[in-house]
Amino acid sequence: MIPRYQRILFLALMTLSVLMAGYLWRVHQRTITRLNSISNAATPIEAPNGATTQTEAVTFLMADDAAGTITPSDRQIALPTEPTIRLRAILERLFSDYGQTDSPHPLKFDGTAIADVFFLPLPLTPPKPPEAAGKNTEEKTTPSPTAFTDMAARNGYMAVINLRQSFADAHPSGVEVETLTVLSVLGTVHANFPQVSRIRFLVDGKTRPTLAGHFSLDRVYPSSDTTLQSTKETP
Amino acid sequence: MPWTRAFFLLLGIPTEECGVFIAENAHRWGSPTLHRQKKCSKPALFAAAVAAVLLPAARAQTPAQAPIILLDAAHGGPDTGARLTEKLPERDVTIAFANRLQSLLIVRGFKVVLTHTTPDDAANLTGDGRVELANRSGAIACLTLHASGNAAGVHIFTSALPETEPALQGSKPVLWNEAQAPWVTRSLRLASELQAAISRSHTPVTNHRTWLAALDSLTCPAVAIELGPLDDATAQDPTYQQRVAEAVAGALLFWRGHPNAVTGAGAVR
Ligand SMILES: [Zn+2]
Repeated sequence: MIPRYQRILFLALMTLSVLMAGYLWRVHQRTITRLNSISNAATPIEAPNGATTQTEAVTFLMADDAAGTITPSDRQIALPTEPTIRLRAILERLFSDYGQTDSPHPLKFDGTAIADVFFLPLPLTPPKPPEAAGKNTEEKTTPSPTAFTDMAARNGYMAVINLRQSFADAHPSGVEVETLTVLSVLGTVHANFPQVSRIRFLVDGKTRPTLAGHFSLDRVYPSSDTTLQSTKETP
Repeated sequence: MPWTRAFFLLLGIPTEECGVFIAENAHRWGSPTLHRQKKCSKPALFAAAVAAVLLPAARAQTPAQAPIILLDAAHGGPDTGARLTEKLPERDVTIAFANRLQSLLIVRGFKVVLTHTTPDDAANLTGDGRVELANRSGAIACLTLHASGNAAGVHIFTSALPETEPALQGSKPVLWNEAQAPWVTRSLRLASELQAAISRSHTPVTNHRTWLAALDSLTCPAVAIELGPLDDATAQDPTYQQRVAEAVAGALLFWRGHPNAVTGAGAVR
């Protein structure tokens, strides 16, 4: 015969196991719902710290194929403050405008045009030897919003724009059309990032000799106002 | 003695005062240019003026000095360039335009050097190969020809390299992809001559600067010309090509007498 105290202990442990199983199941369900809600969220870029919902005026230098011009145009858009995400958002907006079928400079491409963008402090120097690096603990890394302006005051930055290969491959070929695309990007960076003095392009992380068979994409370009007045001489 | 000096100047022998100045300019610009200097006496100035008129005329009669124009039909071989229509690659249009322009230039007394003459004979021609050919040619103008199916009108391009003063360049080594820099000022002049001429032929034309590997290494006044479609004609339209080619040939005839139409020593790799 099983002693009475053993039967009570068995029942108590049994009840505890059932309760624990129930609790685990609940936690499991809750985690699944949370993970689903994250992956379904319609934010492709992680919301950066200090993101603002306020819109601000951004100058775009828009190309026009028919007139052969590049003209500044101000738009109100909401932008994050972190420089790289900000530059990327501005350029994505520029290219999405060109992606419209009724654009004066139409570019057809699937998905996004830009893989990523980053800033390099100038001048580009080789890394310091270990002993020197030890003394100076504040190394130049990705610029924080404040560091960005401090550094820029001295040397300026090189903006590296890494385009997607699918974008470059789909770009229409021709000296004029390729020139207008690149000058529009250079001018837009110049208008919104006075800290940037040089601009470079990569395509899927590699240098590419030309954008679409003509414009040399493997050089370092000065950041400058690329506004093109109409030089078109029509009879 | 002013008249002795005048006699020497007429013979093209510089004398120590104003003659040196005149001779110096003759060397720089290809023909003597008259500049008034305080030291120059009236007879000396008169002699220099006569020399200025006579010397270029004498030079033009030398048959060996037919000015050279380099024409580079862009693309060719496996590089078909842009696709103007479903079946028409850019390389076929550029070569047709180059051949058309060549005949118009020859009848105007130019010597024409082509980088290639058929779309297929460019198969082994590299970009650097074209530039070497151009830089060895001693051309007074180098034209790279393109065609496009999307941007309307004719587009003229000059290298976007910053202009450097040839005198400041001195004996500094020249980077291969920046060899055009000392020539940019002259190239810009050539571009505006071409733009004016094409515009006079009732064709819409733009004139911009760009980054093209084919232009940046050239050591001659260099311009890229891109034929885009018009409302009533595509780039392969013979009438359209002929009109632009005649305007270009006319502008080059004018360019031939231009002080900036000088040839370089030729940078070769
Ligand atoms: Zn081309």
